Amino acid sequence: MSNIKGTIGTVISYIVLTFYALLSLYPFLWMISSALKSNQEVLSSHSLIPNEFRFDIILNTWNQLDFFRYFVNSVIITVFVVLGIVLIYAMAGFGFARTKFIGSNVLFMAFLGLLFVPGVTVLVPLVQLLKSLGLIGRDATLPQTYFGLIMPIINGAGPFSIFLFRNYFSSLPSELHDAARVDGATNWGVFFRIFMPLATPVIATVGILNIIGTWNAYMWPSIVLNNPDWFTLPLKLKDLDLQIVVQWNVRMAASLITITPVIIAFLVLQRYYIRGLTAGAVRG
Amino acid sequence: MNVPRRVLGQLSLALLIPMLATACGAATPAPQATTAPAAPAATAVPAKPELTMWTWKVFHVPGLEAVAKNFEAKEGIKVKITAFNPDEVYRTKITTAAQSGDLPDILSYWAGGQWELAATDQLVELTSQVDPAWKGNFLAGTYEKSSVLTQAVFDTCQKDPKCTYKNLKVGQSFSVPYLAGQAFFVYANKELLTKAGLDPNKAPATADEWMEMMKTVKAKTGTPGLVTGVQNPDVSAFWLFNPLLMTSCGPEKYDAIYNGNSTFSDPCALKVFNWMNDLQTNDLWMPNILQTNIDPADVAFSQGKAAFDIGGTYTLGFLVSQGMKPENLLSFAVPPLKGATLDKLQVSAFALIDAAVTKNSKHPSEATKFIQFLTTPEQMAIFAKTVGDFPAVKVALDPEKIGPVLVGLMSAFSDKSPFDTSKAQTLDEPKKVLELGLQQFITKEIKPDDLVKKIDAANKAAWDARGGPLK
Amino acid sequence: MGQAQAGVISRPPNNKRRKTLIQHLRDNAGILFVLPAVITFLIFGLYTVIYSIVLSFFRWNGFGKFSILPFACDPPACQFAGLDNFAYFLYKEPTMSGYFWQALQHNLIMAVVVTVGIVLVALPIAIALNRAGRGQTVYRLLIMLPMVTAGIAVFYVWSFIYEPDGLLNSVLETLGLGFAQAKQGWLGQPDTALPALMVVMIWGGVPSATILYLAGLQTIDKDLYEASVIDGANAWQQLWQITWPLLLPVTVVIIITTINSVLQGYEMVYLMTYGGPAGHTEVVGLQIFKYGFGDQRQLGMASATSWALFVLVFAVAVVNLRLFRSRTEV
Repeated sequence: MSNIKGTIGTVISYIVLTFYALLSLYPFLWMISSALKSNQEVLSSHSLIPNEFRFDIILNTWNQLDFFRYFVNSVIITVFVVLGIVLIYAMAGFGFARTKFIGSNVLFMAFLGLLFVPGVTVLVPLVQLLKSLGLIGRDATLPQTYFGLIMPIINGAGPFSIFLFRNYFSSLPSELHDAARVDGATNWGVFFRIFMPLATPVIATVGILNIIGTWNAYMWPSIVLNNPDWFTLPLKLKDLDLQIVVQWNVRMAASLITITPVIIAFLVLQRYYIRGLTAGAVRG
Repeated sequence: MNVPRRVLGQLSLALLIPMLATACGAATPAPQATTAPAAPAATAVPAKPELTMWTWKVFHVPGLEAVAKNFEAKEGIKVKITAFNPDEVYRTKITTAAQSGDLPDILSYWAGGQWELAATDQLVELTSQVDPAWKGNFLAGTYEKSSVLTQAVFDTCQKDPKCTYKNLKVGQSFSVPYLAGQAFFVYANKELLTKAGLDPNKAPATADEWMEMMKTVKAKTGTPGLVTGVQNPDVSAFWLFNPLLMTSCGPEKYDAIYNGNSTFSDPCALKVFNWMNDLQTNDLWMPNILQTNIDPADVAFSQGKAAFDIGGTYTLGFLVSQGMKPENLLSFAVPPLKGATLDKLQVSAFALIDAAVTKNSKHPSEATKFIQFLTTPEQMAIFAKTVGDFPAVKVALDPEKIGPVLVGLMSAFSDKSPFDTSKAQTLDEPKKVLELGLQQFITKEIKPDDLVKKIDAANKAAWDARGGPLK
Repeated sequence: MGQAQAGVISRPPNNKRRKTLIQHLRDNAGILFVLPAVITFLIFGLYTVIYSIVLSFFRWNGFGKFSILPFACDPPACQFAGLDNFAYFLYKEPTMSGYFWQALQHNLIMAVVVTVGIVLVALPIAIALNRAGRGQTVYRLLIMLPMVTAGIAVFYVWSFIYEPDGLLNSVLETLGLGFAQAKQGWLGQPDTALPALMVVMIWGGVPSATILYLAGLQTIDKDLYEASVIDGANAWQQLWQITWPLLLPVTVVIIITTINSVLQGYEMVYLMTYGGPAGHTEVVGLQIFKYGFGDQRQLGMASATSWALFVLVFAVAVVNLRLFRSRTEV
């Protein structure tokens, strides 16, 4: 009886999953197919299979792009943003979840409140700030400019990351901590040797979210970066729109080229992510 | 405990590898990067300055670069063109660059919008530099209309408590136009007209005739009559409503209505609202029209999805690039309503984009030299041919030099248009009501009589807040 | 880093009455973990927050001088406006306030529908994923794909799906549901535009919610379910008595982040409808964007509207936390 029920349940599960997977996949397939069509066909046909496969579009886009140069710029920025976020806010999450200090709750609520601070109107003051710190402008060097670009992104990711890390660290059993302390470990030891390794799922979540956000960021980098040689990939891609008519096929090809590294990063992180999740489950 | 620790080890390794890779990679661009901006500041200043110019039209970049190349050949001064788009990003970029002192030497800006920048001392004044010879290059209705501060603009500003450029004087100039154009053109698909049994070479004399043509096409071919980028709220108001209002009421009444001295409920204006509403009641718009923006509208038209398309000088090149044959197109200015005050709308060029020299520039005289070079007929012809857009300078109507499409368009222009001399000031609040209302005709949420009342109320309130109607 | 300073947390306070300064420092040493985050905020966040609060009391076009340290506001580009900005969009200026309240109404509808929608879609999928033994990896990857691909390109695909002769209408036609088609396009009709947008928002929000739920599900002790089966509970009861309550913290995270992104977000509306048709998908975030970056250049107005929105979002979040916290504790 319960076996039959279980089977039915499994079948329903697979139906639900298959349906939703298709729904998730469709726009992506559409992007790929549009990158292989002529611009007219993108606008007039709904078929995912092009009438005529135009591989030249993706090739031309790639050739015009000088991909690796801007890819490197994007990677530098993304890596430092993610490292900064994970390090700074894992510590903060641990601090809020596992240590006590005066004003801890108030401070946590303050950080949580920052989550809701509107982002639209801070661009101008940020630029004034970077200017007074010498991190923007004609005389700023590449490292200075990138530092000025990265830090506000890290700060912007703060509230949500702290929230996730704190929640995760408080959900871990307190025996972990107590046992380590009996062995004479300090809080720092507990954090780096026990909690950080266990935090892989959150690190992966926070990492994936911020890799995507930073990699695709357009508005903020376009404000900070004046020197075209320092542009990130999305900024450079805009230069492909050289015709009056929007070349949707070129745009789609460009989008594909931009997101491919993210998808690869995503696939790589996925492995750690799964192991992290499994470790969590085994522990449970 | 062992497993997760190893996982973390691998994770940090995975993160480290790209970081190391980028650290190595970063070493290559870095030296260039540090030398490039430092060079002009330190050593090479007197020799050959390098100028920068910004625009938000990415597709103008090749045209500007072609001119820059000629300039470098002539003067030995390099000009680097950079585009930031879309509009919102460009505006924000300029705002932040103004705050950090990073504006480029030469700035492209919306013609007529430069006063705010000028008033805050961001732009180099050109009033005395633009001599009669230079001035003579520009098309009528461009430089003297929107690059020089006119009495009308000055008066409105002085009355408006919110106006931010009260410190400017009449006659001052801070920029020169390099791109012009005009809306108010209707394009018809001749093939569809023929199919519907209409004469494909006969443009309608009145808007009422035009609507009858749309109805005929719809009845005979099933194809809807009209398409244009209605999703952009400016489009219905500026491209269709304003020209109809101008011809229906005549220039004086037109100014009086917008400036608060008359009302939108005047019969000549009400007729226009009714006509616009009839487009919907006769079901003549293309389906999904409210979600159709300018480019998709032109694409749909070029695919034969509607008989008529409203656009401007910039539309023709677009349609041709979409594969439409120029001989399949009939174009005419938006026709007046029956019994209108003006029996024909004369269309002339308007400045769309100006170039200005910023106070940030370390080489203002070289930068001024470049914009002067840019606005010579020869260079503007090169620009026009490269990008297929309409220059603000009188260029030879030679298909060899600027391409056949532009020649056709430019010869359709009159020297004078009632809009040239119009002193109407469209205030923001009534404009918003008008734009929303024209869209609400299509959703059937408002009737002409009610909309007229709403706009009049908004217009009156807006002028009252500025010290009464404009005299 | 100073091991000596590292405080040990729940060490029983040995002598409550007489604590030395050093002991105080030790007891509060946990703050060192939070310090980098606080410093980052003090340098790169605080100034901008204060700046934008102050700016909401000024009228400024972004070109002239306005700064708070040292304070500068040079007329005529910058003028003190008092509470004018707030008054204008809240009630004083009929066009602006009309837009604002209409937009707010849309925001609130979205906040409720999109949040509920995401939870209702993500939870079953997470449960199904959790059961799927073999295919889990592949399915999870596919379902997470929108997290990576969402962006301008994908919004364009959705607009295409919603067109009058787009995919959705064709599918309805083939299913014999022609009467349910949106003839003017799903984003082109006043009655369908907002729902159509909300579907895309749900689509974009489901992947991360699913993953959070999945992570939560995998921490639930399987013994709990086995025990409940022995007690005669059916699958429905298991869901309500075990899964849902244990996942409540995850749900709270999802609700708060969704509400926040729905109330503040504007990119999607900007790309897909620009607030149309005839204002039927106008949202507050888009208005702030138009004030701040549009051709009007009313940066003070943009700030004022943002802070009004902040108060609302914050209040909603606090109410949510209260509501769910009291429930979880019961």
